[in-house]
Amino acid sequence: MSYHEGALQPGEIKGGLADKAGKYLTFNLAAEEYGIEILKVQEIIGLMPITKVPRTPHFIRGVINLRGKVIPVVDLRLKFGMEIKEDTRRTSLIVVKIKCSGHHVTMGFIVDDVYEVVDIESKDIEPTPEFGANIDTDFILGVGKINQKVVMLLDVDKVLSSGEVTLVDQVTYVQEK
Amino acid sequence: MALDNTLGKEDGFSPVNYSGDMLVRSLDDLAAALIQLEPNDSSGLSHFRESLKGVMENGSFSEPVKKKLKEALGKIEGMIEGKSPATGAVLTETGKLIEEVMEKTTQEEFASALKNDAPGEDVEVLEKEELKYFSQDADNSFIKEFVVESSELISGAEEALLTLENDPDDAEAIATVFRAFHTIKGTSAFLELKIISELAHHAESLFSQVREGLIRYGGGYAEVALYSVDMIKDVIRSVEEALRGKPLLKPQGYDALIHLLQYPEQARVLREVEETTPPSARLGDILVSQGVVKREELEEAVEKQGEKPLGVELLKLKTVSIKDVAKALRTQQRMQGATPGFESSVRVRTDRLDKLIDMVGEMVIAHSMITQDSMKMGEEYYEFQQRVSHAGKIVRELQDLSMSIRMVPLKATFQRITRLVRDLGNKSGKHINLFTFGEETEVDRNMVDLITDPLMHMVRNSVDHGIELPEEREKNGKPREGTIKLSAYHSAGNVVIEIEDDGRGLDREVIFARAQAKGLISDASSLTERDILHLIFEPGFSTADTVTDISGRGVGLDVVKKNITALRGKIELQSNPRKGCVFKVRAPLTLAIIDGMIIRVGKERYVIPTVSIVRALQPQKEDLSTVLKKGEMLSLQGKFVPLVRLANLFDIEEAQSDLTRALVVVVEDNERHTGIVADELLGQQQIVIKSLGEALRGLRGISGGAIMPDGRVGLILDVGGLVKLAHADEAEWGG
Repeated sequence: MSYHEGALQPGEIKGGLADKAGKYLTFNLAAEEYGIEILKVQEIIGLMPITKVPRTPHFIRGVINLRGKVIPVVDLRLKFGMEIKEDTRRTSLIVVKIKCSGHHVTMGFIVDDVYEVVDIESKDIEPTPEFGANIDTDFILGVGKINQKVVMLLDVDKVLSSGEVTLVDQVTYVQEK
Repeated sequence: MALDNTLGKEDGFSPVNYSGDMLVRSLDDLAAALIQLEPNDSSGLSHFRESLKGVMENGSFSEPVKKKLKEALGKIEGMIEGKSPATGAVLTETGKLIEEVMEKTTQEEFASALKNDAPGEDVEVLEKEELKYFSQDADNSFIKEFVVESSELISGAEEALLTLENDPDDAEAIATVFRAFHTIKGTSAFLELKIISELAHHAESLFSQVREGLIRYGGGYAEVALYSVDMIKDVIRSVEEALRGKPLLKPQGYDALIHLLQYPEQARVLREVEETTPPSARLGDILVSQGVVKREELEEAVEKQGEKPLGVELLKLKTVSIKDVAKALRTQQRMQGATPGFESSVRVRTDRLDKLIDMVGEMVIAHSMITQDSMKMGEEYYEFQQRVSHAGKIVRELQDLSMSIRMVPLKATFQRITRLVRDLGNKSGKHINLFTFGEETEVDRNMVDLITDPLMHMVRNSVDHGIELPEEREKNGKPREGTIKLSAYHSAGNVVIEIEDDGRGLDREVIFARAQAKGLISDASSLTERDILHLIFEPGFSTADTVTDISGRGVGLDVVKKNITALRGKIELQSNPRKGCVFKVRAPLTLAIIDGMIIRVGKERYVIPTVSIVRALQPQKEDLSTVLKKGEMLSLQGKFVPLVRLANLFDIEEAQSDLTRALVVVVEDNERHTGIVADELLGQQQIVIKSLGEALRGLRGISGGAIMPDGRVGLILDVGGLVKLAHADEAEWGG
């Protein structure tokens, strides 16, 4: 129940659903609700002008100037293979700090709309259902239930997973395909 | 200069059985045992006799030493056998003999140590072994702090020692050196770094004698002092490495140096260095130059001087009037310049500093947006507009300040060079006066680190190849002392550093012949004077006839040029045969800001570093041609320049596809030209470089990001990469 139970370090998240209880920031993506561990979230900002970076994967929208620091921006819709949608006034950027292969990387996630911060108890978290080989659920920690709603809890460290955190590496990977 | 303390190399000594260090220790033990000995303690006496015999058998001593030891043994045996009365007096006599022996052996050791100047070969195995000088329980963070702190102290001490070179009586400089050794001693003792504390302790003792006027700094003392500073520096560096798990080794010559520090008189006696007349502001010299006193009178006064100031002594001898002395003192002060006030400083972590600079940059952008908005407002908001403009002034000042925070003077670099010239001069037997100008010139701190090495290399080059040996200089009608002038100044947003020597200069014929022999060039006709001189920057070029251990291995100036170019700097060279030459390095003040040309391709903007731009032009149809219907070329003054279309490479839409209506920016990297096709030039701007971060590292074609004046991110083109792409295989890029 307590906030601290959920205050996990990356890498510690394994197995037990009790570990996953805690505060989550929920947001909307193509009419589905998702959640990100609040401790990974650095800030939420409105959409700002994005500079396209050539020769990067399609889901990288580009880079922005976050108060003097240049950070890459990932369009989660494109990353999850959803259809492209025009940005609206509700479109937001969630700035997260993720850890991957020893590096701390700050990056922005573009989402349709940001909702709220919710406290999810372990009893309300279900393991991720298996969908077979077609749907990759590696980066989903579990499925949370809040007032009859279903929230997909994302493991941000795995959203850009399997050695893909260096987005450039992924370019060659994509091209070789 | 390795001061190895191997005993027995000189004067027919028998071969060494063990190191001199151990020998002294056993003599030490003897002396210690003797002090505790009671005249009526017969078992103690016989034990002492055995120890003495052992030392005599195991150690190797010179004849006079052996004689003394035998004498001592005789006295002890006499007591045991009851031939002589067992009294304290006899023991004291024995003690005296042992003392004499100890003194004698140490002296012999020094004689061999000081004569033994060749480095390397006869280093004892003992010193190479890993020794446990590093306390395991010491706190690493303390040690790190100690390393930083003592490195600063040492560089301060070095500076002071160099001041003492010119003015051995500078009390403040002596105090500075003393304090440095003292502080290092204290901290290292606390951290149980015995290897440092011991050395610092002895160095401190030497300087306390200098401070009290017991000895006068100079000659052998100066050698020992400089050597001590070097040694401490070495050890500190080893400590730093030890933090990373390397073994902490006792450096070569350590023990010998400790002995020298303990008995500095011997260094003085053995290494009396002729006192060169310093071009200094010493009172006596000033008085002589003013014609007030004669040189002989001055020397007489100096001899009688004792601990009193020279002026007082001169007055006592009635050779000068108080007025003259006062005048000379004033001149002296003027020459020395006002003593610089003590600047206090705070150490700040660089990442915080960088963050501060980032934030100020952002504030400038945010403020300029507010300014634009306020302009749009009507007259009735006059007061608001005024306040915005007031805030603007503060912001600009803050921006200047934040940039200056990262700036550090070139002083430390110049100090290292001063030291280098001194050491090289001694080593090569050349007399060199180094004059430095503008050491207060400031550059960005990351720049300092990167520019020091090439500068050192160029100075080394000037000393080794430029300045001639004294005899040769005399023959050519030049003063025996060579002069190197090192100056730094700001010019047009760059820092310029000049190294000027009055040596033999560069001989263009020799350079040309050498370059031809090495196959670097074939035809001279197209080469200008400058081209020929610049051949010395070609890889594999070296004009020195002999390879010395200072420089001249054929690697060097090409590396220097490469390093300077990597800093976006330029190197120029002027030579006056037989009169000397000048190297002129021009580099930006900081690596964080570049001059960039902003180009537009479609809707995208990119930055090209201005330094790599050769020219920009709108191509004519007849100058364009294609190879295999693919590669496009532009004919430029008879040369073909391959073109890179950013629109294709970066998948940019709505870019100009008609080359004759586009713009070609010709860039250069490694002397290869490439044309980058753009839609138009948007203008030139100073740009703050930003890393694109871990996630986008290694992006091809883009070298970094930049915050544009409108607050958006701009991308800086990687000119080197694009040139490579245009010239080499595209396959490397993966299409």
